[in-house]
Amino acid sequence: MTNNQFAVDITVPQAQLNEWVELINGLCEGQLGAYLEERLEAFNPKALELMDKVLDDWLAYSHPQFFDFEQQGNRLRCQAEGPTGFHRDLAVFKKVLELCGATVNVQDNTLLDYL
Amino acid sequence: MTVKQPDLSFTQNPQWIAERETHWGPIEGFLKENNRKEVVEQLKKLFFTGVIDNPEDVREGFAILYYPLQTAEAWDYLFQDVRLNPKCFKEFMNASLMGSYNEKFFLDDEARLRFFDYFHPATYQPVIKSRVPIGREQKIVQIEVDRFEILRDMAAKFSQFLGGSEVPVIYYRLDYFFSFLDEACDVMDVSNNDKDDIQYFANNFLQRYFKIESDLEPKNRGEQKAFLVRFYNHIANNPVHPSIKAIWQKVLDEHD
Repeated sequence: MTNNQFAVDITVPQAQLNEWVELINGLCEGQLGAYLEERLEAFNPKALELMDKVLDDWLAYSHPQFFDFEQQGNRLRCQAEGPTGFHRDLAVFKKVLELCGATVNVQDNTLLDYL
Repeated sequence: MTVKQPDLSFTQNPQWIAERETHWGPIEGFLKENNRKEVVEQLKKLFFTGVIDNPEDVREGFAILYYPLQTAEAWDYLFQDVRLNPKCFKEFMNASLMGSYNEKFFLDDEARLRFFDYFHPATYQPVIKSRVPIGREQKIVQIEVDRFEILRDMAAKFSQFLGGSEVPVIYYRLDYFFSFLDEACDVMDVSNNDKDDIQYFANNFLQRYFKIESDLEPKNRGEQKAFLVRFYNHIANNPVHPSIKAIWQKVLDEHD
């Protein structure tokens, strides 16, 4: 794992499991643009507002990679990697996921070291 | 002087709209991966009506790819009036030669050939001029063709074609290709960073001449044979640069 690679590990409400799988698995298939906007907006329009600047940055400059999607029941995991400073964007993204109703299970040590 | 916007009244035709809808589905899926919703909506409007509300929000070149009309008249309009920049012109010039754009962008082979012909004359010319003044400065752009780059890409393209890939655009403009070979410079020149690639790809497709019956993929075999025979005859009978003939001679020697 590199300095700029982090885990996304969340538990999601069972009732919305399919939508969450679509969102996290979609990230791992490179669906970061309008797909992600639509999915976040469906959960909570305020979450999308918080994500607005980060999303612009991801699409225009940093192009992060999400990969290694895993599912165990309603616990979803993947890895995320981006350029220097990506940890800040990811911290925002995790808040966004919480606003959408997920519980974030892992705050990476690497990420906390940066903070 | 500005170029008049082409007549797009056909975009009101329900049959055209219905047909356009079938093309839009896969394009939309592709665009939604890496563009904000607002941009995808703008591109959809451009795709169906030719209207660009805010050119600043539309990435360079998208106008060319998604405009409803794919003709020289339309491209003149877009390069001049939508102010696409000279860098964009050069990128499309190279892409048109190699067909190196997503195949979703052109709705039929005729449009693909029109795009080639928009940039390139029937035979090779070392400098390509834009047909209209372009960019913010509204000047005629002159692009010097990078001969090493073109030779590398064309050798790679023919190598793929002979290996079973689709017939490339350049196959339908072989006069351009062969006139280019006559003008090509010393591929072994020290300034040519692509010389290893050129040798590799050229060697790769020339080898197939000796295995026409056994090595060519059944798909497009007629076109493949026709190309190889013309290549053989051209190399033998025309003033192709000795450095290119040397690659061919090496292959010949290996089969003596």
